[in-house]
Amino acid sequence: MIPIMLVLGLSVAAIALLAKYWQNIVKWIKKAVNKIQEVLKVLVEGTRTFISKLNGQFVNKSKYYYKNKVTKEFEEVIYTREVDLNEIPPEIMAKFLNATEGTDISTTDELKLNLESIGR
Amino acid sequence: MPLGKRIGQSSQSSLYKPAEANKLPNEAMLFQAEEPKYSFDDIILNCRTYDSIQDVLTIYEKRDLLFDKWGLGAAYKQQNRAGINLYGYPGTGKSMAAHAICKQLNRKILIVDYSQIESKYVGETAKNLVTMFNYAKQSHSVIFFDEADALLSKRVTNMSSSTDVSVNQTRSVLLVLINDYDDLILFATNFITNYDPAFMRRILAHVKFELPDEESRSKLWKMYIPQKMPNNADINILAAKYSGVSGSDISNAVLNASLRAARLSENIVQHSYFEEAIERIVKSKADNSDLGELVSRRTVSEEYVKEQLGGEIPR
Repeated sequence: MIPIMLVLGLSVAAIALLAKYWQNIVKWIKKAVNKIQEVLKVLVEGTRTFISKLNGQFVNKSKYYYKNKVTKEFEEVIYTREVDLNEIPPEIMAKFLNATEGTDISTTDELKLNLESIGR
Repeated sequence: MPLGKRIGQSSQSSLYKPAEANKLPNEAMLFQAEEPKYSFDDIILNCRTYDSIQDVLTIYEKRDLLFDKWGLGAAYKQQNRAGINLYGYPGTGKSMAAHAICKQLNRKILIVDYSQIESKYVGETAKNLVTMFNYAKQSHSVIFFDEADALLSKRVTNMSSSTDVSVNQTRSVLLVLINDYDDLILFATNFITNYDPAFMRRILAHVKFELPDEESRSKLWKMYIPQKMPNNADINILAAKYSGVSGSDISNAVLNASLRAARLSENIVQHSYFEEAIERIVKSKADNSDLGELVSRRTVSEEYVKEQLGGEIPR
């Protein structure tokens, strides 16, 4: 009985950790969107998220797209933020098995799925 | 190229034609140099920033001494090529400094209006750039690229569309024009990391605009709180307590504090209103502090954006 409880407890903790990972990304994206819109006075049209490994360090990468009010051209802004290895969901880590150093692994679809499951 | 509106015939005719521009080709009428609006007396800068600007301006003010008498002309054959890049935090006075530089040199300023340069017609953008440089030369004005990273950003390496090719062509033309231009050009940006390295090499001096120190903050508070506005602000406290704010932040805080007092029909603007206003600004900046690192800002084509966002741009 105790091992079952332990497994259940660990599963709940893992799910909570996962939810927190995606929630943190959503919070980060919202801040970046607000910042871009505030500083550049533009409307952010869309975003994509990635995870990347550079020199042994994992980074979350987010890209934002908007039309520059002055030049009327589209622009892409990229933010990165270091992420702790332990925070990365296992299904994302699995994608790194065959990836070369510096490859951007998209997490946009996973983010969308998790947003739906956590009811955002 | 979907880069901006084309200036039509009617717009052209409504533009003011300066006396000296009467000698210029019709296309040059699109551009209008103006008298600088600010001098260094109107700006409060850190000593380091101010000194850096003055050092570079010496090249114009003591040209004969430097290049003839002291012989620098032999070693620096392209001494005339002097782009100055003003970079740093938003709201630190970069655009005002560009005006002040022109005023000090007794020159007009030609603020680049990107919408007048960019054209949807192939080759027109490059032609407009050439016309603008010619106009600046003939009108003896200083070209000023504000938000310069928009135009000087890294060229696209993976060209996926004709737009990308066109964007690259524009940057390449600009690169050649800057290289061949033998007069002062000013650039200002919040995003220096986004400059194409080729442009970086062609700029003589990069002047960093830092956030004001306590002494400068004190001067800024004094400058932005009008003398005739009744208030009991303790400027020493405001300057000492709130670091990490720009001149623009202080200006906004003064306005917001005044609005509060006016709305409440108070006779004086209370010190606490200034504190509350600047605290809100400091807090909003702190909220953004964990944004991570801005690694790139670049121009991309509409096709690229569509591709990135799954086929279409959400409206």
